[in-house]
Amino acid sequence: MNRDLLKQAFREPHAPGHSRRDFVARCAWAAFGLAVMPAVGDAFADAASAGPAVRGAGFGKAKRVIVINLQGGLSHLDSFDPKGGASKGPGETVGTKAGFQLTSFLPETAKVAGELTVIRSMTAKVGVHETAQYLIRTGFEPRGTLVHPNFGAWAQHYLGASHATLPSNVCINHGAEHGNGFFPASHSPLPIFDANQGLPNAKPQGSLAVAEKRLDLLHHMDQDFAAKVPDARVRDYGSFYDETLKLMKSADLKAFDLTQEDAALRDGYGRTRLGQGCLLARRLTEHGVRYVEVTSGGWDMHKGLEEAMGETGADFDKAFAALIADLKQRGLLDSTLVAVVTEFGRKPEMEGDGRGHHPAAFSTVLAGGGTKRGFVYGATDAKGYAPAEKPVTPSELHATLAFAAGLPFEQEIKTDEGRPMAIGNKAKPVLGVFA
Amino acid sequence: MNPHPHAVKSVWLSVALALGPAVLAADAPAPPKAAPNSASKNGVSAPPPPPAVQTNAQIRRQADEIDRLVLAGLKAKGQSLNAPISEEVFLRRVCLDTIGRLPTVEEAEAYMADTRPDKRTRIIGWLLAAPGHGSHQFNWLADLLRIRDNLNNQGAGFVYENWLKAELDANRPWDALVRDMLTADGKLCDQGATGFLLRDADMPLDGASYMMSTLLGANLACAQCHDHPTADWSQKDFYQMAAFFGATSLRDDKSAKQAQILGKSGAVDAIPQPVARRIVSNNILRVQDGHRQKLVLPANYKYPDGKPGAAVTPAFVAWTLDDAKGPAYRLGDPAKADPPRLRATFAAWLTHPDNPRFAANIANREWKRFFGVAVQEPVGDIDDLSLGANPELLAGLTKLMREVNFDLRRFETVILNTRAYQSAATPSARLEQNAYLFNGPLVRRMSAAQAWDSIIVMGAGKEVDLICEVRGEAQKAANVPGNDFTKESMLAAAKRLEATGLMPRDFLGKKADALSKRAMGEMNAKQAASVMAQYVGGRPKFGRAGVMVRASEMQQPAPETHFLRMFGQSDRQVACTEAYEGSIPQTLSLMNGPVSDIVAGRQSVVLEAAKSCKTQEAQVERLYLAFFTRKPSAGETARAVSALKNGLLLSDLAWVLLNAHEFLFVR
Repeated sequence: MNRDLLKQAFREPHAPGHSRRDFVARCAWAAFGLAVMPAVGDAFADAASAGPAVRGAGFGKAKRVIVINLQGGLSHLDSFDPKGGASKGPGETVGTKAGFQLTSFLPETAKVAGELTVIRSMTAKVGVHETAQYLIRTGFEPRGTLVHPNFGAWAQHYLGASHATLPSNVCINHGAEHGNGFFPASHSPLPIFDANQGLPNAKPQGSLAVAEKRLDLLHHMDQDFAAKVPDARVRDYGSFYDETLKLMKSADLKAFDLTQEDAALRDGYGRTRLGQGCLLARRLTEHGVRYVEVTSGGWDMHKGLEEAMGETGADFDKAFAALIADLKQRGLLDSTLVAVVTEFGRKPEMEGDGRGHHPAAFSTVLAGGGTKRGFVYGATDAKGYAPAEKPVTPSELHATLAFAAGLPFEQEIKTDEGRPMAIGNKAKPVLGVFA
Repeated sequence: MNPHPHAVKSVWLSVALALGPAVLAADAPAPPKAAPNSASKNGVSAPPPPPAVQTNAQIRRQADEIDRLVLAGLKAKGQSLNAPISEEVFLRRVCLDTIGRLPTVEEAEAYMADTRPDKRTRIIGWLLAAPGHGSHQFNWLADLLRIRDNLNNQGAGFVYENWLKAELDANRPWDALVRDMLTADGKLCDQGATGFLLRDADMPLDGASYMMSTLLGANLACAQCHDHPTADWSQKDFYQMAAFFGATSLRDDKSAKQAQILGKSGAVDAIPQPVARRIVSNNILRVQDGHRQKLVLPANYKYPDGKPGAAVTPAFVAWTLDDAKGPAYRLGDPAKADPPRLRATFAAWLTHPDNPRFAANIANREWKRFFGVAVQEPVGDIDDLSLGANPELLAGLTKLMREVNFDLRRFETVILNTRAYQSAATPSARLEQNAYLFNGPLVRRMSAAQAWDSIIVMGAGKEVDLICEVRGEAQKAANVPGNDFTKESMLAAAKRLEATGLMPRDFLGKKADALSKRAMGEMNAKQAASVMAQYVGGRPKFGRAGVMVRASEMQQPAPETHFLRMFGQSDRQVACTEAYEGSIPQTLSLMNGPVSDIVAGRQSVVLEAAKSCKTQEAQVERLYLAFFTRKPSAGETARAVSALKNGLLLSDLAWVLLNAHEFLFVR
């Protein structure tokens, strides 16, 4: 643990001058085209230095990435890939000004359709939530004891921390769940369980004098323990204390505070977990967090699909459309990539009043960050059973996100165990989605 | 009938109270009486019960055998066991691994004062029979079986949870427990063991895939949709296995219809709609066997060995050609089994001592709990037993599991008595698969539940171990006999529910935030009464961090913002997802959150006891014992005393000890 940091955290709890100076310094670095240095001790720092070999339209346009993860398996047929005949669900098929069709469950999304690229030809093999979620979150199938990082951790590895005090990788409505993968714990996503609460317990207790004495004693204890138990995870915990203290003193903490947003805007996103989560994602990325994953549950619609789409589906519709409109209004959409992902689609044939798991075909939506506007990439067959053209795998989607964010996606790094790894498992990015 | 959880624990309580603190030095109390064996249903007989006493000589012999296998593995790679550990390190480790919490100062002192040479074996026996052990086992299995209060988005899991806790308190053998779950009949609000199958009533095929992985370490997940790309499982294998459940219905659709018509008629409008809906769903979620096996191959089946929509013949999966010659496969031809008996046939095969993976799977998973890494990883895929770090060791553990007849306490007794377990911990490098050969356990961070349970016992005393939630009793009140949904039967059920004192919201298992977020002072009388009505065995204390009951007695899983979730408790959506990583919110929670009040605030039992010590040196020593299970060194005492003379209070010292890495890590 960094002892000076410990003290500083309490001595200068909210020093606006300081953070302004930090801000200016960061701008200066940015002006010279330099990324903030990766965290000291990053084992992979050398690997990141070589530049990417492939570039093209859209490369590196996304400075920030927001992923909305619909857990349980969004029915492509009842959302972004409506079909007639036996595959038709309870909703109606409606046209949009962008020229493609959606279902009547997504009226708000239809209004921003002109900003979206819909990939209708997503395909995967596994119809089990656990495995399929792992794949869509990491771009890898789970294998052995190795844990793969999420996108934010890859980006932090290649580009360094996105902000001096704020985390580079945040997940909302979801635990960190090994999101750092084989990268150090410093790459782990910061979990926010309740967007309305923001970052709980950030305010220090007690007086400064007492706090300093407490921390002094703690520092000695931890030092003794680390000497006795030279364990990587114990060390990682030390680094979390450093990060935490840095954050506690930071004026940037207000990035976590949704009460600073306009009430009407908050209503516009919907006062739901997903709605406020999306708003917090916008607020955090605006303040310098590079990657935010917002999770929404309740998409496993085996039963009562119509009712569920009317509730869960409507919450999403409102939140997603508000996020796109808000980013656009702030001029951030070009430099922010928003991706709506899910682990698999649902069966073309209804089973009772719901649908079963169907990994062979599903949809993903991209917006901003250099992607095309009002565009459909790929298609499924007439039943919505399988891709009819241009299939895209979750790994390819990850490579595509990497391309948009300007990461050297074709580069291999070696894990501690010497295993070669590349983001998206060496898949090729889908260049056709970029404008 | 199974004993009420509290009934079992009160037996223990009377023993513990009679012996007082000296209990640690005394002989282990008799373990609570085992639950009556009910597994003979459907004509499947359970194996004979294990011999009544596990003698010290027997334990020694079995532990030596495991050590021999560990040593052989180490020796082959030129390695050896780590040094033996001190009594202090042993006590801390073994308490966390058995009763799921740190020892109290009194418990630690009693143990240290004991001079008998076999005191480790004695305390292992005592701990495995103590009430905290059932709670600790429950947390482990709740992660494995994905147990949630909101069991499958419709029905509540309380009766299931209470059933499992009672069985664990009674140390029902693993094979019998699994058989009970696989063969249970009846309704969710009535028969606890049905919860296992009803957990996945909405996705029975996924449930089957989980079952194979959690109970057999067989990775059939890929084969659910297509032939496994690398292993030998075919999609047909999967369907033939799932067909054992093809005659079983998990929902009483006929009565559901009746309830729907009743609801639309307006006859039960007096009952709040969410309550009415829950009464119905907790009754219609029902396990019942029919006379026809209905599972067919999926519409997209694409292999030459079957046609889409074709009927599936149930067949046991086998890992090798030799498997099919074993006794587990000689239970009669499943293809000819009477459909209503399919499940029982499958259960008999799965839990058979000679099933090729049943014993190995649970032995491997148990080993992981004590050493931090399993003999073979990942634990959900042990299809090829030659891939483990030490295949002979896993074979030996499997043999042991059979020898103790799946009695998990006996199995754990042996593991905890090995020299390997009682070795210094190995700092965890980033472990390459199968490279670790068990020189000792790994350095581990406490699980979320171990940390929480330790903290609340320090704050509220060890009586916390005896407080049990009994929400299952309330859920049982929702039972509508015969699923005959009429105005009268629905009103009667609603009235019974109200009489339990639980608010519908608690009963729903959703957003019962009164339980965890609000302190007593912020609750109104009705809310407080409702929380109290959920507990027996003692009156839970409240603080800023919520109600102080053990993790197993809280909502399952705890609310997302609770300490437990922050420290990695699984969301119970996916099997085995307890997490041990650090995070900024964790650190903030320990530094500034309400949890530090529990040990450093005014009500803290451990702080109170320290304050009553006469000298500052003794005060420091007492707190060190409580948090670290060891006395401070002279240097540590001097530093702490000097801080106390220099403006810090004892509560500040408690704060520091709570935040120290030595508290959270187990070595």
